[in-house]
Amino acid sequence: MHRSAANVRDTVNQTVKRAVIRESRLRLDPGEIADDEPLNGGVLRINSLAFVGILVQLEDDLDIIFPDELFEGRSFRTVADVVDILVRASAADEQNEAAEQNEAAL
Amino acid sequence: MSAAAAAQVPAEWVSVLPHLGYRLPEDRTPQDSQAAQVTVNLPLSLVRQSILPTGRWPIPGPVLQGYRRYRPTPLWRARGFEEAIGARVPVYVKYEGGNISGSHKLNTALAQVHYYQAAGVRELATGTGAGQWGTALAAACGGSGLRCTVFMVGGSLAAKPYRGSLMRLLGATVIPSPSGLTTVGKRAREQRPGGGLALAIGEAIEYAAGRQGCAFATGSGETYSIIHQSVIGQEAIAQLQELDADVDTIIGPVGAGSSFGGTALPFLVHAKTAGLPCPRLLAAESSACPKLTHGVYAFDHTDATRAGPLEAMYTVGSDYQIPDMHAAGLRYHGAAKLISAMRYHGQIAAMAVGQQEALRAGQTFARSEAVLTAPETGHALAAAARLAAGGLGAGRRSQGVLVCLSGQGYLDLSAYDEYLAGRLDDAPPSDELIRAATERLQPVHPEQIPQHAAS
Repeated sequence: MHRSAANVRDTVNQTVKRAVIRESRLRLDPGEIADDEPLNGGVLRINSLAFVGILVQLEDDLDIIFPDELFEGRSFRTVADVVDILVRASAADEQNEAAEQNEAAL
Repeated sequence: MSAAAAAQVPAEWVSVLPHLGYRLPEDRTPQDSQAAQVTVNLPLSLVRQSILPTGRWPIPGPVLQGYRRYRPTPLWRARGFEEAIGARVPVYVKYEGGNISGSHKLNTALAQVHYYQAAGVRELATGTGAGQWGTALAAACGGSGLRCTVFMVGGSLAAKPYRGSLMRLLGATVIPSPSGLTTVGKRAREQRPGGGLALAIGEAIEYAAGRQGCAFATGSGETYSIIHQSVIGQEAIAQLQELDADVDTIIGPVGAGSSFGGTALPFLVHAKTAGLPCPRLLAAESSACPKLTHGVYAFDHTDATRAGPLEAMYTVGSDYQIPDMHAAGLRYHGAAKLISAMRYHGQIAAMAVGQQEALRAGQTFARSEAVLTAPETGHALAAAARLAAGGLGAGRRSQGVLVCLSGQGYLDLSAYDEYLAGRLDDAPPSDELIRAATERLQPVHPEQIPQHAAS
């Protein structure tokens, strides 16, 4: 059974916020981080070096493998920038999974 | 030479990470990293290989296809060399110089080009010292349609112009470093002529950062590149089994450590998995750049831009002015963080060798085995000669030595010319020089290496 788009977004949003809070060594609730919070600003301290490690951790948390081409030429300024691209990846992953299941059922 | 060639090309890379018993220290961000935007500069496939404790990684089909053009590489017992050096134990050698690039570096170049291309990158830039890595990347890019730009240490390029010819033949753009193209290059030309690998890498990083669709690729210091080299050790294990031979010492040259790691670490994994004693893993480094034998274990920069991460490494200091030498592939201030951590934990031994001794060993090998090796490889041969002639030491089973012949030396004949003319000297740095170059670095304390559950 597939989750609604709103559910997917909410899950990704919470998971990303938990990850960036952990990486910034903060003790905050995900709800205390605004969607437009800068990744490398006054609150969060995420740089490009740490970011790739976070993405691999998010793959584990979200049970998804992000394709390499997802990130080429992109830059991320806020939490929402990351959430947007990962929601898209999650949706594509679910569609692929559904297609595979349909194929197997035929 | 009687080569064991029936071994198959491995279908997987082997990672030592789950067998270490500890995690590698995390990289540190330079203090001045205040960029408001974050980017992904490395394909996630390579990031995963660097940090996940996964023991085996499937080799993608196109990479495997590339490997099959020149692998498995030959392994043989070097009886002529044994006789020439008066060896008391058998010496086996595994030769990685038989491909177009002339060295082991093609093993990771093919993999990296595959992953960067899958990520949508259209051009790769890199820095190279002796030119082996630059040639390997040029070869891999040339076969895939990616553009390739190589910053090569200027002095090395001048001494070995045919390296440049070969890279250009393969389609790469070759730029002597320091160049006038980058800020870090221009500054270096004003401040300290000569350059070095860290500077060439720094130029490539700055060049790649300023170009859309371009990424920086590195040759040997990163964990993923050592994992890609594991095809060497895996093949060697199978080939030794075919010969019904056993070795208890594995030796490879160390610039950053990828040929050594790729040869030696699969033996450690094999021993751990089979419950056998682990062979001695011996890193042969240059006495002009003795990070593993005289350096400090500290967080240091990997390149001259200082924009990259600070990595935990055995280092003589990224500020140390390494003297000109012919084994330019070993002319790098630090060892890979994986190799460094294993050295810190006593899993790797190290030996420093001067370039005269290295080239003498290379000459002996050429005369006795009819194979011309690179000056870098000569350091491993010299270390092997010391051990094999003197016995392997108390407590060793003295079954034999395996040496990784990391590259061929046809484009390094100017070094042999200098050796034959008696114009080479060795200039190991004093402890004072190393102390001065490393005193500002943050040491890696034991408590900074977090233990994780043994897997």
